[in-house]
Amino acid sequence: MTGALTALIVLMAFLGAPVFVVLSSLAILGFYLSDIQVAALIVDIYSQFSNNPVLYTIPIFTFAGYILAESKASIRIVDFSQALFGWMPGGLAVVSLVACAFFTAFTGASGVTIIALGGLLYPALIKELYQEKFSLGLLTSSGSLGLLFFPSLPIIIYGVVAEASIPQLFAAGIIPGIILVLLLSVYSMFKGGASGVRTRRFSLREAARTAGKAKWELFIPIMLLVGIFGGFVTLGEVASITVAYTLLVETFIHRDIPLRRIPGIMNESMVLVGGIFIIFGSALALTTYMIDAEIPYAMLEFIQRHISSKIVFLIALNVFLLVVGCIMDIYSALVVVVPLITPIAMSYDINPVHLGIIFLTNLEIGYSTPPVGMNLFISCFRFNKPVITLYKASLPFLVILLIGLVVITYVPQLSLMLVEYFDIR
Amino acid sequence: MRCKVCGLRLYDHLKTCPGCGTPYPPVHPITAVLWKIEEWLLVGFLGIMVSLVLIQIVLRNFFATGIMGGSEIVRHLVLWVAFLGAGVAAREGKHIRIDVAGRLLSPRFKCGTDVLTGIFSVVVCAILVYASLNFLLVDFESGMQIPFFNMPVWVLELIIPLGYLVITLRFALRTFRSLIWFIQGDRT
Amino acid sequence: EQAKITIKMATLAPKGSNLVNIYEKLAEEIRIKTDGEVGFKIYWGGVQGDEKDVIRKIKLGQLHGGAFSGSGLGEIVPEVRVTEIPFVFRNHREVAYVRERLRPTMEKLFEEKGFIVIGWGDIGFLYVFSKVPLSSLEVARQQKWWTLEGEPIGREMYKAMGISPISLSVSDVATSLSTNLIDCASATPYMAVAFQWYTRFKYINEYPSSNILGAMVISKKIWDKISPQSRNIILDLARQSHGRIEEAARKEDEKCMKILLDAGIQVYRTDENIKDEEVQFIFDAAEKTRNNLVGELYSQELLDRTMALLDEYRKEHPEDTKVIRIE
Ligand code: NA
Ligand code: NA
Repeated sequence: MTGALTALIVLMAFLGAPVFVVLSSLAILGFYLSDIQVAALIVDIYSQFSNNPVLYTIPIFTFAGYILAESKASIRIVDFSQALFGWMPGGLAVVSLVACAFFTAFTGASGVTIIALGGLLYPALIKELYQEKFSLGLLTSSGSLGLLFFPSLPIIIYGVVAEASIPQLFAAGIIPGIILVLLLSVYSMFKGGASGVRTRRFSLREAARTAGKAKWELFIPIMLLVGIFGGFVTLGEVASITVAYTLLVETFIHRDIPLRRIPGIMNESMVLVGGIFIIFGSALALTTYMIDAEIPYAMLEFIQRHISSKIVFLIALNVFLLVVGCIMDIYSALVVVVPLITPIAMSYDINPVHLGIIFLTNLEIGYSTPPVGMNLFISCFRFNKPVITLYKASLPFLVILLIGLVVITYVPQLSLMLVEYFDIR
Repeated sequence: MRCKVCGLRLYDHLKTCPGCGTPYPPVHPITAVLWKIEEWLLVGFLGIMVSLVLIQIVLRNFFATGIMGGSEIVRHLVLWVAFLGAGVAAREGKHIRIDVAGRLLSPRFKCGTDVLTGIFSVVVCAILVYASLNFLLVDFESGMQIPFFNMPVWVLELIIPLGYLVITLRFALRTFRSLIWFIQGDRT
Repeated sequence: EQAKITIKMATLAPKGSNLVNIYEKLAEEIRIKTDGEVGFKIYWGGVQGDEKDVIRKIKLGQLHGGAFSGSGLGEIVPEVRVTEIPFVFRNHREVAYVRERLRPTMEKLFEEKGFIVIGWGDIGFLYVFSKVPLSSLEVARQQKWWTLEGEPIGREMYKAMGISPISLSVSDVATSLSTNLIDCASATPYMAVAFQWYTRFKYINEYPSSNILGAMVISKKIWDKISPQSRNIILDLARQSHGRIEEAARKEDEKCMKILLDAGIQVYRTDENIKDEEVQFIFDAAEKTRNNLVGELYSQELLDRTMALLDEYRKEHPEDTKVIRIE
């Protein structure tokens, strides 16, 4: 009976039942089997949602990200990056990487980056004679680039679920994030040089002009940096100030967004938040059941019996997470897998902050991994190309990101350097 | 179901056909009003949340005071924003799915599997409504309050069963629609 | 092997702590002495949530009991908190005298609510930790104070002091300290060390505010399923081990206080730094607090009885005037 029900649930998952329904059904089944009133599964949902001191920053930051995505900030950021990097071979490709990373940090790899920037950057890349395949691959894989930069939602969610320090995670993501951008930039410069795309001359005046236009948006990362690491305000206060600031800039200074559009943006952003949070709730319920049934301890024992070295564990973890990352979306993956993996990784003496960076890098890659990485389908929709084309296009980028992953995983200092140097808690 | 103009497969949550831009038939006026109320509630709660945090910053730094229970109410608003958002997501068919099979199946067959997953989802969500009502009852009986104007906790928890209920009803409606499409087959 | 009745208990205390070690030993002893009738499953480290969540789960039948601090116990029997009123008790002996004499009353109240108290044990005195020296009420009011979620004593005390605190569950304090949501907290030295809060603070006040009660309770529903002889065995074994717990808790607090001071946390001296009228204001606020809680937590009669018991102790032991403070 139990076996049949579990099989039914798995089948429903693959036939396209919502993730939160699948997770809830597993929790309900578990509670039923352990003879516990099903109402108990709401206890942790309620208590985590209403108590968690960080969770409320997620809707607020998401709202800020959506305001930016809706405004013409993308054009100003691309113009400024163009003025800075346009002289390099493959300059526009590097511009795309930097602009995408900036946007993803705010919108949390929800596909918004590809939607918001794809329409702007794809024609520009083609016009400058980049190959179609290269351009598609570049935009698809940079849709999740920037996940490691603050105030990215997946980092906050990891912090919430793993109970790790969020300022530490933000600091730890900076160098690995830059490494990924750099690796892809080097490849783009190489490809750009090879296919003989045009470059422009660097002009200080142009740089100053575009910086002047984008100055209000460029100030946001500085504000966040000071707010998060300066220690005068709480993360929630930083989030609310960011919302107030972006609203002010985009509706009153740049006048990109009419005031009557704001409720619509609020709604669209909260649809994303609601979709993520309801999955988080179900995952909490499922975790409650697993803790009750002492499943994490059993897993821990099993893995410790079979894997003795830290290196082997890390390899296994990477393979596992890549598979998870390409069949599940990042938020479902985080909330389901993190509570199971964290105690196990701790027993291998892996720093939880470093673990977070490994986790997010894996999932970032999973986003554009065939067959079912989310970004592939979003690009498919955005650029109106068959999915097979995108599979082929994103392959070289995947290989490069995997190299980055190996470096980030096996050199923990890259993640922990800033945390330790600035003694961030 | 396919678009009457260009024949592209339609998704019932979109406002216009992605292929040719033909608008969908408008919803019933009563439904439209309910949708507006739902959207304005969501806007209101998110707005209150952001404003309360900003007011607290000013009060604490310039007047060395604060709103009693201000942080509790902000955190409880997360529940309201999340469940209202999840409700709208159900309306627009935007709940995250793994959906491996959906991309490989023919539209007619997909309608059939949608009916199956739909029934499954309705059952699960109905259990969640039942579970959250029972949970609510425990806190109703204990009479717990938060310091924000001594608001009883159970009032703040009302959104949990309500949110799941809205989602259940929407899933039921969607399932019913898929069933009709499945029976009628593709109309071009 | 599996016991006939498994009692699922939860505690916030982390694995490897003295408390959990004693519980695990106790659980094993009980299983053996009851011939495998009664076994325990202990969820430590707050994995089952905060005390409030655990009580909800007990009401829903997912758990059967737990080791609680006063605030969790107060969710079941509010009266129990009458011995936790701030700035009244001077030392452990005063607290112990009063609590011992109120014990039968409290145990009866728990039974009426469907809970059996297996054993009592103090958790310890609470001290104020801060990031800056709390040199005046003005400075104190500019700080962001932590109070435990839904905690009436804290709420009233802060109200009387003119502070609007931020309430959080215990498991969220560490995160909130790191994101600057809070910068002052009351905690026992053991809590400050075990939950790693102390690394965020620079100062500790020399005088504690109040003594936190602790007890292990089990729901009557599962208790009634146990055979009478096994119940007696459990009560006997638990009473013994609670003596050990209280002793261990006090030693642990002393050890942790040393860790705090060694880590460079400075003791802030009230007598040298704070004006007398402000000290008097705090004592007045404490009095207001305990009076405001009459009706919500306990009756006037119970408060009067508690204060009378305290007077009685002080009359019987005129030599014991020692006020607990960090030397
Ligand atoms: Na909690
Ligand atoms: Na994915």
